[in-house]
Amino acid sequence: MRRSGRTEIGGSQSRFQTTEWSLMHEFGNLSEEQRKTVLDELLGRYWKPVYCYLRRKGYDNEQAKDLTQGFFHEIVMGRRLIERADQTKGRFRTFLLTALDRYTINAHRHETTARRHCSAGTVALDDTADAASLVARDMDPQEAFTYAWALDLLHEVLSQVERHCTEHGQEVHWQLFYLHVVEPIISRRESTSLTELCSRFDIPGTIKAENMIVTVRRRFQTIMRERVRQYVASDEDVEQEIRDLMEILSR
Amino acid sequence: MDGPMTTKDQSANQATAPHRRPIEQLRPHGAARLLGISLDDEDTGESHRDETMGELFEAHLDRVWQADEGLRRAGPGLMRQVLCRSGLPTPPTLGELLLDRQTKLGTIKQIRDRAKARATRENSEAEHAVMTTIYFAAIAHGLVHRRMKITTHSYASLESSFEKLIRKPWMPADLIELFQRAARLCRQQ
Repeated sequence: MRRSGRTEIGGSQSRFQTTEWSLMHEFGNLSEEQRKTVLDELLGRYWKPVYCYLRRKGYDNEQAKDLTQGFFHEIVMGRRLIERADQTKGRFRTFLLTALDRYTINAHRHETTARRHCSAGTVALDDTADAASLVARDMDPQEAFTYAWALDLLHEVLSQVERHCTEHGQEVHWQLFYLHVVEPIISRRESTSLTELCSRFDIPGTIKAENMIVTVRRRFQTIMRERVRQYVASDEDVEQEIRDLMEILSR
Repeated sequence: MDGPMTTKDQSANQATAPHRRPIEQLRPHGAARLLGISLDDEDTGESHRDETMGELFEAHLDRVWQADEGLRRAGPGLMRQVLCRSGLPTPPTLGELLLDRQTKLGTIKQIRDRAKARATRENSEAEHAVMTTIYFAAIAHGLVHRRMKITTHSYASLESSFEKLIRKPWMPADLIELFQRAARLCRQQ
């Protein structure tokens, strides 16, 4: 799926980092074209968790894609949902999941709506979510939603960390972090030893390599917290949100 | 770039041609571990000891467990070597005992007690960390395989301790799974 970039609400001169809540609440002040941009932004960010949820609810691939498009169309275009969206009441993830629960109760009605509106979104939903939904096949719908949510979050954060390292001439730092920390977790294999990595990347010693990894780890922590902050109510909620995600994923 | 490439240049080029596994291969528990990195306080430099810790921990797990301290003083692995040469069955290692659901509760409690005593005596931070891990692994074994809490720690406190141990980069996968199962049981209490 092509992810849209940051939404330029307010024109090209005022590009700023939006939070999910601000996207929702600015909606009433936007032009038709800007609303469509907001729809694409939210769809781009969150279609996979919604899709995984719907697949676990029993919809096939094409039905789930249609309903996903329809759901976001209703979230953004449907006034009721926006009016109910109260940032002070919690996290955007929880709001989205609650709205999705309500949406699937009337699935038949939304299917009809989705067919009318599925061409409204400009973001093409690709098939990469199927890989995640296969892993999630033994989870209940809410767990599947959270799993896909976490995958997207981690993908985005890791990509951003890598970009940051590249922009700051720290490609080897990134490689060490990826090969020693990330890749073993994904592949469920033993970590490549620091001694081997030092030899591969011509690093003078393991202490130096360890420090390089710590540098990237700190960047990962910062970017992760910034990203999570975008969809929780306050700074204090960031750590708890991460713990909640971990708790659900550890079941 | 002019001139022949140096090793450093080659390393940098190798670094710019990454082979990445798709994130969709990440299992839920793996996702939890990666998320946990954002909560770790490892920027104090503790991570630079990961490899040393891993080797030290594995060395302890590979030691033959014996109730008789005298045999242990013969040196780790020595008795196993002697028994192997003589064709006699070899006693289990500490790691095997901690992971085997058939291990007797009495043995697990012995492991717990000895690890706790060593942890309080050790001056070395690394050895202290290893003994503490073995202590909690014994408790986790009791929870998972015997459904018994063989400690006065509360379930909430145990869950927190297990979660911290799960995030240690040097923790073997088998023990991570044991700690994860134990943490789940604690949450259910």
